[in-house]
Amino acid sequence: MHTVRITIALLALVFTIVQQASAQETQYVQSVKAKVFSAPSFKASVLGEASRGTRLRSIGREGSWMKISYYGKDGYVAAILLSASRPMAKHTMIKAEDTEFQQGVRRRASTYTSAAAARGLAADDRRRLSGDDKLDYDGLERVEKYAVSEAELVRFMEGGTI
Amino acid sequence: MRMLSLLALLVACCLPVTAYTADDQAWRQRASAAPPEMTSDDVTEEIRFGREVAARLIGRYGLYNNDQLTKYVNLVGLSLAVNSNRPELTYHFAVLNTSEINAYAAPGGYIFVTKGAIDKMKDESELAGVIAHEMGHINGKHVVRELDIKATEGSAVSGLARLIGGGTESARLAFSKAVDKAMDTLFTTGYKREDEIQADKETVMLCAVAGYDPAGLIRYFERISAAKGKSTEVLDKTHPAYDARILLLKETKTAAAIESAVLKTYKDRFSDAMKSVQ
Repeated sequence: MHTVRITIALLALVFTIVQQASAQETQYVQSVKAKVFSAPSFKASVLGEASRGTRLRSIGREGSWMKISYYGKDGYVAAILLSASRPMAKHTMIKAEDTEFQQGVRRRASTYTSAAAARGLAADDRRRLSGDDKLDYDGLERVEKYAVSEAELVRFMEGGTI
Repeated sequence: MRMLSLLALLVACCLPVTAYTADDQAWRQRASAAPPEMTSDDVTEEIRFGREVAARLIGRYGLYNNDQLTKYVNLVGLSLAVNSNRPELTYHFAVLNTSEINAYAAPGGYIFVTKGAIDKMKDESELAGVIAHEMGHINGKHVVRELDIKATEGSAVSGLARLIGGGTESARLAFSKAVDKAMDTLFTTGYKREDEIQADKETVMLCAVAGYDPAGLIRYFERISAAKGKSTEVLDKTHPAYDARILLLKETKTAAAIESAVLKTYKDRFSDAMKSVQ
């Protein structure tokens, strides 16, 4: 009976250790930078900043915060900034030609055209689509080409005027 | 003897774990990234799809052509985007020329806020809240998952299928129908309730991380919930009730220990930007 009790206690100990180990997992910073706080609060002191791609060891989760091991201390990072996968490389914008290939229809860049006509859909589908369903690639191109400089963005993020 | 064997077995079980937790250097070497949820081709497919949805949104309303407001919306959006958990995407922001009160996200990083919505806002944290919510839909891949948009064979909108089919009529029709469905989601059926909840929850943290008071979205909801009629028709039809959303935002904010006092609303900067708007 005594042996059984010891065995159960030891098994429980092993189970606890394994559980703690599995709770630890690798997390990668996905945002440009991630502040590491000393407590799960934006009011807490900042222990440091981890840049995109930094590998962190997660030791638990507290609501919206990931508890991590940071240079020997417990730290907290907003969980939305982290992922178990390495950050992917930035995708470049798809050129208009790709869309043309995809649609299988030659389309001038400046054309403002109805979706149905552009896609060569069946008559039923053309009828189904209302006049509201237009594709404005000119507008899309303007949106995609719009850019602000990094310096402007940094100034803005620091509280500067537009 | 049996007891000793058992102990030896237990010690053997513990050894790798002990090494894992005790030796940080060894842990770093052993740590490996989880396989990415999406491949590079999947992301390309998402952006291609999102472009079609974005082109239709612009086609429906047109862009609100005001350089200063466009720049301002882009600056606010990019301030949030640097904290996005999808660094592979380039986010684009624009104002749609309609008095309807709403905002839209197209997969791949396209975010639109209507002029009508901006007219109802009182400070920058409200605009940030609306943009962050839409970013939550993109980052959560809500449309991508719902419509199974990926580059692998078997997907409803498959790049491989198009290549095999050589861009056949049926493949183009499948693609168009998927875009139709995405438009239905935006204008008629709405996202799944759990997706809306997730986007609202992420809004709170995303705003706070970017330095914005997450209560901005609460104030905006309280204001537009009073607006009835055609201007909020689509918004009311496609989103959960404001009361429930406001409660969720407040609970999330409290749970994350976020105090508005330490975060900004940028009311003056918002007022300056609005001077360019008639």
